[in-house]
This record gives sequence, C-alpha cells and structure tokens, in this order.
Amino acid sequence: MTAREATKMSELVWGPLMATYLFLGGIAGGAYLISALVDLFKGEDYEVLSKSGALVSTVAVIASVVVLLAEIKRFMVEPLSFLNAFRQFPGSMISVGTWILTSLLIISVVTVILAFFGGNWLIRKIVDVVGIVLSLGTVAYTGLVLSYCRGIPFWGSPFLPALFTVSGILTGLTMAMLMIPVAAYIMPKALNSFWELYERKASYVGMIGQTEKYCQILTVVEIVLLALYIGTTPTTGILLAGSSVSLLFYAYIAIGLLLPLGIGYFNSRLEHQGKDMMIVLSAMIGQVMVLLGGFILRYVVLVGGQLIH
Amino acid sequence: MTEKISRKDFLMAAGASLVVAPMALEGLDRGQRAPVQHLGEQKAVVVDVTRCIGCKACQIACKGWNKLPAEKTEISRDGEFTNPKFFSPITWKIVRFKEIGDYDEDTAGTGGLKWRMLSDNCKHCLEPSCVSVCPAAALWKRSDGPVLYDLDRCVGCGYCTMACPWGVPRFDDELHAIRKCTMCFDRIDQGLEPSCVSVCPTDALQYMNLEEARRVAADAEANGLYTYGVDEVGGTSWIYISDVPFSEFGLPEYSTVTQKGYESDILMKFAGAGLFVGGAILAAVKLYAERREAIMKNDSEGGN
Ligand code: SF4
Ligand code: SF4
Repeated sequence: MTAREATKMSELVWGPLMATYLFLGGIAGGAYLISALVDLFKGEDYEVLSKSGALVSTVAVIASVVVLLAEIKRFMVEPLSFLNAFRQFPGSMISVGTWILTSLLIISVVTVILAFFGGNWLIRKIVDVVGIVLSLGTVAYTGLVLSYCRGIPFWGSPFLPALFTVSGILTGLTMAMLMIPVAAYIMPKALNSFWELYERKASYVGMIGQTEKYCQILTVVEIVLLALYIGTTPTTGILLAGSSVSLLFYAYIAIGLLLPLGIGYFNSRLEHQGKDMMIVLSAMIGQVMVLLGGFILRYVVLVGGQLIH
Repeated sequence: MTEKISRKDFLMAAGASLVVAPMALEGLDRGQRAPVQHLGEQKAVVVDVTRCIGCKACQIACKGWNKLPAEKTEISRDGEFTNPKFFSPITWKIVRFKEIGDYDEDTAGTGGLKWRMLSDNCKHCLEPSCVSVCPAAALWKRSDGPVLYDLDRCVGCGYCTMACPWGVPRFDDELHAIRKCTMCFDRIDQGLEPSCVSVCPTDALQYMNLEEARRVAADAEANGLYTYGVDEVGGTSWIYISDVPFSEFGLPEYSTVTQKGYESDILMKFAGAGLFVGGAILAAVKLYAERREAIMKNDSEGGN
C-alpha cells in the first residue's frame, strides 16, 4: 500500500454524489433496455413494464445530471461550463457519456410521449432499437469511465465495467418493476392497463414471478463477475478486511445479492400456493434491497478506489 | 390535434437544442487540441536524486513564481520531512524525503542509513493521461513540453485527477476546477528556466532538450543508476535519476503503455467479457423459457 505514496490524495475527489450519478446512470440505461426489449419481444401483458421502464429512464437521466452538477459544482463559478463536457467526443469517456446520456434522455422522452399519445408502431420500434444501443452504452459507460482511470489501479479491470453493466441492467429492471404502480398512476393509458392487469391479478403476479427469474439469472452473473473483478484487480486487501468500506462491501453482498436471491426462491415457493398479496409485498422488499445493494456497490468501488493505494 | 402536434414539436425542439447548443457555443470548432510532438524541440528537466540536499529551495521558488500562498502544515511524528505531504491546488512542487535502510547500532555513523530526497511535480508526460481523458479539451500538451490547462474550459469533473498516474491535478475548492504545475511556461516563453530549476544550488534539477535528457538518463542507467520517466506511461518530460529504487519514494511502477493503449486494452477485454457474459445470459434465459414452457405444458396436461 505504501508503494503508491506519491499518488495519495488528502481527501476524496469523487464522493457519494458521484456514486449516486453512476447508480442513476445504470438505472436509466437498464430501465430503458428492459422497456425496449419488453416492447419488442413481450406481449401486451407487459406493456405496463415497458412504460414504467421508459419513465424510470427519463427521470433517472435527469436526476443523474442534477446530481453530477451538484458534485462538481463548477457551475457555481462558471454557469455554462458544463457544456464544455460535450467537446472531446469520442476521445474522452466522460464526453462519450455526456453525449450518450443526452441522447438516451431524448429517446426516453420520445418513448414516454409515444406512450402518452400512442404513436406510430414503426416509429416506436425504431426508437426501441436505437434506445437499446444507447442504453447498453450507458450502463457500460458507468463502469468504463472508472476503469480508464490509470491513477486508480483498483478500478483498472475489464471486469469492473462488466460488473457495472450487469448491475445496471438488474437495478434498472428492478426499479422499473418497483415503479409500475407509479407509472400507472402518472400515465392514464398505462393506468388503465395496470388496473386491468391488477384485476386479472394472476397476470400481474405472473409478471412478478417471471421478472424475478430474470433477476435471479442476472444476480448469479453479477456474483460471478464480482468474483472475477475482485480476483483480477490489484490491492483488494482493504476491501476484504478491516475498514468501514469493507463492512459496506459485505453489506452489498448480503443486501444486494444473497437476500434478494433468497426472497426470489421464497416467492417461487409461494407461487403455487396462491398467496398473491404476499408475493407482491415480498417482491417489493427484494426490489428495494437490490436497489440499495446497487448503490452500495458503486459507493464501495468509488470510495474504495480512492482510499486504496 | 393541433395541440398535440405543437407539444410534440416543442419537445422535439427542446431536445434538438440540447444537442446543438454546445456546438453553437463555438461554431463548428469542437476544441480539439491534439498534442503536437517534435521530440527534438521539446524541453525537459532532469532530476538527479543523488545530487539533492533537500533544501526545498525549489518548493519555495515554485510558490514564489506562481504566487501560490503558503499552506498550513505540521511536522508528523513518524519522522516524515515531506511537507506538505500531498500535492494540492496551491502546492505544485513537493520534495519527498526518504530515510533509506534500517538503523543498526553496529553500523551507526558509518553510512548504513542515508537520506534521499526527490523533487517532485507534474511530470509533463509525452502522452498525458490528463489531456487524453479531459472531456472539455481544457488540458493540452504544448509542442515544447509543458502540459497546460485552461481554467475557462475546465468543467470541474475531476477526471484528470483520477486518470493522472500520479494524481497530480488537484481541486481548488473555490474555483471548483483543477490547478497544477505548468513547467513555468511563462518563464520558458521568456527564455528562462523553470523557477525551481533556476534556484537549485546543487544542479539536482537541470533544464535541457528532451533528447539530451534521455541521453543523460541512458548514461546513468549504464552506470547502474535507476531512472524514471524515460519509458513510464510512454515517457515524460521530467526524467529522474536515482541510486535507490523509485518505489522508495512511493512512485508506482508503470509500463510503457500510454493512456490510449491502456484504454483500448481495457475496452477490448471488456468487449470480450461482454460477448461471453451476454451469450451466457441469453443461454440461461432460453433454458429458463424452455423449462417454463415444459412445466406449463405438463401442468395443463395434468390439469385436464
Ligand atoms: S503527470 Fe499527470 S498531470 Fe502531469 S502531464 Fe502527466 S498525466 Fe498530466
Ligand atoms: S477537471 Fe477540468 S481539466 Fe480535469 S478533466 Fe475535468 S474538465 Fe478537464
């Protein structure tokens, strides 16, 4: 650890707000990806998930930009300076991210408008396809932006962007599921389809069951990638033992990965017993845990990287 | 209907303006400032650790020329004379002190323990990571060596701090932008040496052409000395010579790979991992769907 004395910082440059930015970016990309995939490949029963995904993506991009501006604060001195972040495309990863997030915002807004007004079928499909590319770019960006930082060896592994990509898709899907009632409330059209869905309760609960299976697959992949990341990045010692960051790291494994897996298993048991309300509630608890875990992961990686030398 | 179209139009226009606004700021100039490099014309500084007596004149001269205020510091209990310990927006030059060897009663007074000092600052890399990652083109490498920055452009993202192999650019809490060593380009422009070089009483810092500096380093290596900055991260304009390994001063080991090479290496591996993981996820999803179908089929057959 002393080998990098000369690169030490006296304080964090990127703190909790930056972690939130990366977390929201992941959610935005993941939620849009799910929204588009569901729209392309799933039937009408999933319409409400698709709409919720687009709405979540829109809100998450806007929130992520606000959080980022709050973190870098430069606008307080030079109000329009942030526009300079568009300049170095595609040479600088932050510039790439700025362009991708802006484009994803436009696509998400267009999708929400189409959901409101019921736009042309073909346009929606084209928007879906463009959005899939952008959303994959967004989730990958949240990890790549860190892994390019040569001064922080802890981030220098290709498994970090892979981990953030999978985690972004998982948290995006989770947030889209969790926000279905909200999306249904905000969008009248979705509202109808939601209440219809709810009345045909079996299909809403069925959707929870199915998406939980996908979440389980993603969680298992995330666990594998986490192991690969920790195994391949240098200087992980402090993460595994002896600091508040390591405590948070274990909290992430428990809250973000293992407990949701357990809840999913528990729910799959309930499925055959017709305890619908129970399924909905425990699924929501699991969803909140996945989101909490997703945030802790970003925080641990971000802060850990700056502490570990 | 008209209302619908106008709202749509409004949103479309708003979206479009978001994209076009930054370009409109400066016409079509996206502000690319590609590093220009002619090795022969580049200036460099050789830092010779074996000559340094640790007087810190360079550290003071840096403050003086750049009008940087003093910093509140403290003497640490672990016998650390590096002070301040870290670069900061107002400390661009640090003399790193290192006591080498273990104290031994038998050899006390015979030179078993020795002090070595290294005068450290921005290395003014030949392919600077900071320039490469800056989204705002706020940093650039000047053809004669200095890596400079433009505060008017800095968006304050901190990416250069993280990407710099030595964490050199530091945040100013009032400007919310970075500041760092400029290699005294404003002295170089007047035909003067960098301020720190000009005051060094032992010539531990020497200003010369880059080509010459690399020759000096090659000679030192031939004489069994360590060098730093000739190859690291693609080479730097500040080249260090020492009789003790640079890890003693906490300088990390780096390969010759430049920032761009580092980025594309990670990107390629990530793409490879992505294809593999993506394939695995698709296979798992397909398996799950098939199993589900089979179960549902079973169920409905059983039910009937
Ligand atoms: S040492 Fe760091 S700040 Fe200086 S030129 Fe190299 S990358 Fe940039
Ligand atoms: S902090 Fe300023 S100089 Fe550094 S990368 Fe960001 S915009 Fe560029």
